[in-house]
Amino acid sequence: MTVKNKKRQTMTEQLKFFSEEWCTAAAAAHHGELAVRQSKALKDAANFNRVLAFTVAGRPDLTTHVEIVAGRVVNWTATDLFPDDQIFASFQGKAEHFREAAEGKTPAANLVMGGKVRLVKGTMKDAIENARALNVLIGAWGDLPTDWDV
Amino acid sequence: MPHPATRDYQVTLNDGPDANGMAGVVASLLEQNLEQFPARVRLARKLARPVTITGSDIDSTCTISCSPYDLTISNDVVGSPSVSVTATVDQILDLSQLKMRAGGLLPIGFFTRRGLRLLAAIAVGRLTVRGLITHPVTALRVIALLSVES
Repeated sequence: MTVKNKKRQTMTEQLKFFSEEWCTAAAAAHHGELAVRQSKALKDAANFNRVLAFTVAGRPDLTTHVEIVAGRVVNWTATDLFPDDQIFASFQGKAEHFREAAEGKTPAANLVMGGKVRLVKGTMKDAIENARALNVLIGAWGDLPTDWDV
Repeated sequence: MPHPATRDYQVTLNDGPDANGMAGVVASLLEQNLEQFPARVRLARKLARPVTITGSDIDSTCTISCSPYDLTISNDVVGSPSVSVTATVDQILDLSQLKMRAGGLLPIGFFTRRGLRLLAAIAVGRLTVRGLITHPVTALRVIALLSVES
C-alpha cells in the first residue's frame, strides 16, 4: 500500500463529529475500565438514570443524546433524540472546545467553569456534583477517530 | 440582566451577555441555591463587602457584591473585596460541595476527606483565601452561600 492510499484510508475511517456512526462508536467505547471510571466519577451511579444532551453551539442539527442507566452508557444517538422533558442536563459548546476537552488539553469541567461549554439545561448543583464524570465522558471522545470538521 | 431568582432578592449578572465564564457559573449557582434554600438570603444580606473568586487555571474572576436588596455578580474585581479566593476549578468544585451549618459558622464540611484536602491546599498555598484571617466569618459565609449541600 502506498503512503497516499494509507492516507486515504485513514481519512475514510474518520467519523464525523456527532454523526450517528460517531455516536455508535462513542457508546461502544464505554465498556471495561472506561465504564468503571465513568461510573465511579458519578455522584450516585447506582441511581443515575439520565439522558444528557450535547450540542454544537449554533448548530442545532449537531446534537447528540446519551442515555445513562445505573451509571452506565447504554445508548448514544444523534437521530433518535429524546423529548426535551427527558433531558436531565444539556451542554452546548463549539466543536473546537469539545475537541480541546476530548484531546485532554482542558478538562471539560474547566470549559464549563470558563464559559466555553455552557450548561443550557439542568442545575449547577448536578453539574458540580458530576463534573468529574463529565471530564471522563468527554475525555473519552479523544480515543475516537473523529473528523472535527463539521 | 436580572435573573428570576427569589421574589424579594434578585441575583443580577452585571455584565449581562458579556459576563465571563466564572461570573456566569457563579450567578447560576447562587440563583439556584437561593431558590432552593431561601434562608440563605439572610446570609447574603450579611455580606457587607464584596468577595472575589478566581479560577486560577481558567484565568477568570468574578466579584460577588451583596446588598440588603439584591446580589450582583460582576466580571473581574470590583470594589474593595474583603475576601479573595483563588483556586483551581477542581478546588472550587470541592469548596462548593462542603456542608456548612449555622450560616457557615459551623463548617462541618472541612472535617471530611474533601475538606481536609482543601485545608491542606490552603496550608501549602495552592489555594489562597486572602482575608481569611481578617474576615474569617465572611469567608465562611461565602462558602456557605456557594455550597450545593443542604
